[in-house]
This record gives sequence, structure tokens and C-alpha cells, in this order.
Amino acid sequence: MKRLVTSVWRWIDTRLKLSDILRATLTEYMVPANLNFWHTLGFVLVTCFVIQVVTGMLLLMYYVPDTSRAFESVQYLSNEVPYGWLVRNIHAMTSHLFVLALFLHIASTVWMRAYRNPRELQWLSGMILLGLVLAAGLSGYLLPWSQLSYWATTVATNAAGSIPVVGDDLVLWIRGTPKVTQFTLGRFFAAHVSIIPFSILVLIGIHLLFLRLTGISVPGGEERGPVRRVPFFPHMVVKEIGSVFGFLILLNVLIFYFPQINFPADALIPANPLETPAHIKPHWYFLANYQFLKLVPSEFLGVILQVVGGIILFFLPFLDTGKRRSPLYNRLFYAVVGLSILGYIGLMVWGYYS
Amino acid sequence: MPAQSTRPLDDERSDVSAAATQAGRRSFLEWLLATLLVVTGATFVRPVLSYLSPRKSGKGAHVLLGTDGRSIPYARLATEPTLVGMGVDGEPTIVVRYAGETRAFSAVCTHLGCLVKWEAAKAEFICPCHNGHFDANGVNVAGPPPKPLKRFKVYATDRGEIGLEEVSA
Amino acid sequence: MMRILVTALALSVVGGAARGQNSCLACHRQQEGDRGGPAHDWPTSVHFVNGIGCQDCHGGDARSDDPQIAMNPKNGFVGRPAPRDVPNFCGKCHEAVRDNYLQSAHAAMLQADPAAAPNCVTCHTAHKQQKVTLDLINERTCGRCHDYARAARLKEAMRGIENDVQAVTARERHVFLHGIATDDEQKAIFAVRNQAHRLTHVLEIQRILGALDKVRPDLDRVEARISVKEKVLEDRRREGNALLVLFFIGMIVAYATHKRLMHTASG
Repeated sequence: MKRLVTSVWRWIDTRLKLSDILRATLTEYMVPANLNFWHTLGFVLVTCFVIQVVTGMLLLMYYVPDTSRAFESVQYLSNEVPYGWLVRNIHAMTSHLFVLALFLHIASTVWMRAYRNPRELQWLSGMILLGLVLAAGLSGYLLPWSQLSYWATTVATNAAGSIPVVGDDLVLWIRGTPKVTQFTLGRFFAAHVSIIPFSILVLIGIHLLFLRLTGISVPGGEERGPVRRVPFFPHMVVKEIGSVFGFLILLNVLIFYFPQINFPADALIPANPLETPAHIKPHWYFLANYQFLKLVPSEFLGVILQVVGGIILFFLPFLDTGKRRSPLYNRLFYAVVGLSILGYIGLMVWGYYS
Repeated sequence: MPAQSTRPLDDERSDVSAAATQAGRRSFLEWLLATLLVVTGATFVRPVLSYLSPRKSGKGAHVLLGTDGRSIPYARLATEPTLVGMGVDGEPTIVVRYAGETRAFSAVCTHLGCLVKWEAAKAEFICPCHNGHFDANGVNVAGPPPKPLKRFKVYATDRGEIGLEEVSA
Repeated sequence: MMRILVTALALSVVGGAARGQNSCLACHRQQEGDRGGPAHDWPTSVHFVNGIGCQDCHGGDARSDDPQIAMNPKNGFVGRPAPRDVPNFCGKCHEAVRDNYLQSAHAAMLQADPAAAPNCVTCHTAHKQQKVTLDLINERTCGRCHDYARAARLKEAMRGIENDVQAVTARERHVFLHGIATDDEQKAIFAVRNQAHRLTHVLEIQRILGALDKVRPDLDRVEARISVKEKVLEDRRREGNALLVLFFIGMIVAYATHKRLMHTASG
């Protein structure tokens, strides 16, 4: 048996030179030895994406994207199909953890200022990925056509209406019709199961390609001189596997002990366009933006400030360049970043309890 | 893809990777980890396989049972115009004689779930809770019920019970 | 209270817009006293919450802004029913409750002295009715007309099934919130509750207790079905816990392997 496997492998390898590629990308790919926990989040994010693709494919077998049957089909899949509840729960809960891990990945990149020259392009591709993952979450929310789906989507897409000039047209364009209807479900479905995941796949490829081309950033900065390096495989990979297990633990605890994070009561009853449930709020990852809009007296100003904030974040590598700066500048930088993160979390919590 | 390992900082590379991969020896821990990964993957095989396994037709035959759990004889329909019992999956089911025909419907009102009664004089099923009316075909004709009553095929079984069968939608 | 009002108001705006403008509320909300009161009470009513409109009981045309059309008897409009007509007014929908009530001492008195006798709205209110609990039988309400002792005995007679219905409902909610569909159980519980509550209106304890014995098996059946679903949840959680242990071991081994490799590499 072992001989057979070996000879098949040899046969392929002599033709494709796979072992050379594996050696170059795994055992001979050297990374800094002092990479920390935060560096394993990229691997966790790829795991999230794979989980979402696999569970998403399974869900597609039973889901019907029709407003009169969507809720029923989801009920059937989670009550009648063996382990359907598990597949659905994993898909829904991973969507939350996907965003959480992405936020941490970005925050740690900012904190370590790893986006600076020569890694600006990697940052930009990551920012586009952030937008795509949020869009995946938003579009996926509508598909079960529950009360929560319907009204959270109504509220979230309404928010786009406060953008000056183009707002109303934008809302219409997102929904496809003036109200959230079958047309909205149709386009959200298409986006969720094909447009967005394909785009994410391509961008993950680009993101990783840039990573290999520029090399991974060294924690603490490269200017301090040469650092000790270890092979990516197995040294770094086992650490990343450890983080993946940590992710699975979190996923498990949330699914079995806090199911209401996924499915509060409003998510368990079918959508009723004539009855708004009390206390409808956007998903937790839009809560800060939502609360900010409520706090700023003028809606116009609130939107403009958020757009400016988004642009600053997007072009961060060009604002905080790698050139030497005074210690005062550095201290100021960390103060601003730290306050921004705290402010974001504060707004989120405030939005949750308000 | 240009391997980044050619960067000049990697002075120690050869020693380190040699030590790690020498003779392909793997420590006990590494074998254990590999095993755990395989086990983790394997735990998801059964859920996925049963998720994908084909459904048998769920529409089985059932008989009407009384509250004592025993089947109600078909012959009783000759003397009693209405029978209520438990049918498919324990669903409260009402069987009536109407226009020379035996008909069976779910007795659960589609509005909020009270049990309907058969009013032979009006040829209607009436729900006592919010005055919903269904005609002799189970179609909601008045009051709040949003949907018709679910209908079942009804027949006498070989053992003289009242057989019920779910009709595919 | 303020919160409920605000929510109700917000709901009424949305509801009104969605259901087509309700001209009854638009006019009556601006009126004083008996003509305005019901419009202000209405958003707190369980009927309103469940999407019932004025015209569903009072008839008329709620879409018309013209009082001559909206409140025209030709359009089926019925204003405020006379006390003696109230049971039939509510009985348009609550048929079985009406039939129970009509057999009671309250109903007998309604024929004798309509102005003084208790009809439906005496206890349930006309436009603020809530989902009923046993607390509706209380000294303040019943004591307005007679000694409370007998009503208290009635309440005690109902207590057993009421508590059990509530306990089963709580278990049903728990299963439901864990993502298991309970549509059939919800309906069955509603039916049991409704059957039990309608009995109260007869006001005869022995009859009530006798009838409750017939309701009991239905409740037991729902309970049995919920138990099965609770068992399913328990089994799932047990499987989940086993996985949790596996993941924990995996995490520890992975980090230990990493540590060991790093140690070897530096040695």
C-alpha cells in the first residue's frame, strides 16, 4: 500500500515537480521566529472562508430563494434534515467569528504598523476583503426571510439613503425595488452565493501572493537588524493549527451555549412586512456606525464623517509612511489608534444597550 | 513564485531547517497532532454523510387513534357522523361523513390552533375560538383562518381501522 | 410604561402606513372624552397588537375620511353596542366564550338589569384588553359588585391547570429559542389555554373542574412532545461537549508542538 502511494506520488512528481513547489512554499519558506498570536489570524480567516464555502454549499441543497418558501425551506433544513441544524449553526456563527477575526487581524496590523512600505498593496487588498466579508454578512442575513432578516435588512439598506445626493438611488439600486421584496432576495442571493465568495477567493489569492512577494513583516520592525528565522512548515503551521483549534472551541461554545447570538426570537418567525418588531438593530459589526449616526445631530455630517473615516483607514499606508518620524509623532500615532479602537468598541456597546 | 527565502537575512536558515527536517523524523507530539487533525476532520464525516443521505418518502400510512391510544373502528362511522382522533404524527384529525363520502381533515384550525367542530346542518367546520369557518372541503370561507385545513386520504384498512394518508402538496 | 407607549406609538405609525390609513384613529384621536378615549387606549390592546382593526368589530369603512361614509350603517357600521348586546358583539369572534358566558349567573343578570350586570367589557375593558392571566380575577374587579370569596374559589380551581400551562409554555419557549420549530406545540398550547379560560365564564366550580379533566390529556400530550424535543437538545449538547474536549486537546498539543519545535530550532 505504502509502496503504491509512493510510486504514484513519484509518477506525478516527476511530471509536475510538486515536491519542489511544496519545499519552496512550506519547509524552505522561512519566517521570523518571533511571529506572535496575531500572525496566526490570517490562517484562521482562511479556515473561516473554507468553512463558509463548504457549509454554504451544503445549505444550498435545501434552501429555496423565494420569499414565500425561503423561511419554510430553512425550517425544514434545520428541523428535518439530519444535522441540518449543525450545518446552519456553523455557517451562521462562523459569519460572526469571521468578521471578529478580521477586525482583530486589521487592528493588529495597524498596531504593528505592518502596512508600511513595501506592503501598501497588501493592505489595500485586505481593505477590499473587509468590504466583501461585511457584504457577505449583510446579504446572508436576508436569505432566511425571517422577521429579523427582513427588518434588519430594511434598516441597514435604509442607512445608505442618508448618503448625500446619491442616497435614494443607491437604496433603490441595492434593493432592486423601493421596498425589500423578492427582487431584493434575488440579488442578495446571487451576491451571497456567487459574486461575493468568488471575489473573496480571488482576493485571498492576491493577498497571499503579495504576502509572499513582499515577505512577512518582522514584529518590532526590520530596522533593528537581522532576526532569527524558522521554516513556515512545520514551525509556524502548528502554531496556526493551535489557533484554529482555539477558533473551533469558541465556535462550539457559542453554538451550544449561546444560540441566541445567531437566532434571537425574531429570527425564528417568518418575515411580516406589515409588522415591525420592537428594538430592531443592525448586526453587532454595524452597531458602532449605527450609534454614531444617531449621536451626530446632522445625518449629513454623520455620513460624511464616516466616509472620511473610511477613506483614512483605506489609505492609511500613505498617511503613516515608513519614513523616520520623531518620537512625539509615534506617541501621537498610538494615542490616536488606541483611542479610535476604544471609541469604536465604546460606540458598539452603547449602540447595543441604547 | 519567487521564494522569499532567498532574502539575505536568512543566515541561519540551513541549520535550522536541517535540524527540523533531518531524516524526516517527527516527534511524538507531531504524530499526535496529525492524529488529532484527522480525528477532528473525521468527526464531521458522519454529519455530512447523513446530511446528504437520500430521504425515504416520509408520507407513511397511519390509522386514526382515540385518546386511549387504540384505533377507532371504521364501522363507527356508520352511526356517528363525526369522529375526532389522532392521525398522522399525532395530529388531531376530524373524520366526517358528507354527501355520501368519508372525508378527513386536520382538526387544527389554521389560525391559532384550536380544534374545529363539524356542523352538519351548515356543512361547515367551525372553530370555536375566533369563529373561523371552513367549508366541507376544508377551505377557509369566513373568519380569521389564513389557510385551508390540511386534508387526508381516508380509507378502511384490512383490519377495519380508519386509515389515513398524507396527500402530497 | 413610557417605553411601551413609545413603542406602541411607533408601531401604530408603521402599522397604519402599512395597512392603509385608518381614518377612525385619525379622527378620534383628536377628540375628547368618550369619543377620543378608545383611540388612545387602542394601541395598548392585544387586539391591536395582533393586527385587528376598528372595523373588524365596529364595521364601517375605515378607509374613508368622510364620517358619513366611514360610519354609515349601510357599510355595516355598529357604534357602541348596548350593554345587553355586548356578548354578541364580542361573540362575533369569541363564539365559544360567549356560549359559556350565556350559561352563567352574570348573563342571567344581564337580562334582568342590563345597566348593572357585568358584561364582557366590565372585566376585560373595551379597548385596552390584554392577554388574560388568572390575575384578572381579583378583589378590586370582582369586589366592585359582590363578595370576593366565591371568585377566589374559582380562581383557585383554575390555578392548577393555569400553572401547568405556564410551565409547559416556558419549556416550549426554551426549546423554540434553541432553534427547534414548535409550531404544532404552540398551537396545541394555545388551544388548551383557550379551552381552559373559556370555562371560567360559566362561574360554576364543579362544572369547570369536570371540564378541565377533559382538557388535561391534551396538555399532557403537548408536554410529552416537548420532552422529546428537550431530549434532542440534550443529546446535541452532549455531542458538542465531546467535540469541545477534542478541540481543547488539539489546541494544547498544537501549541506544545510549536513550543518544542522552536526549542529544537534554537538549540
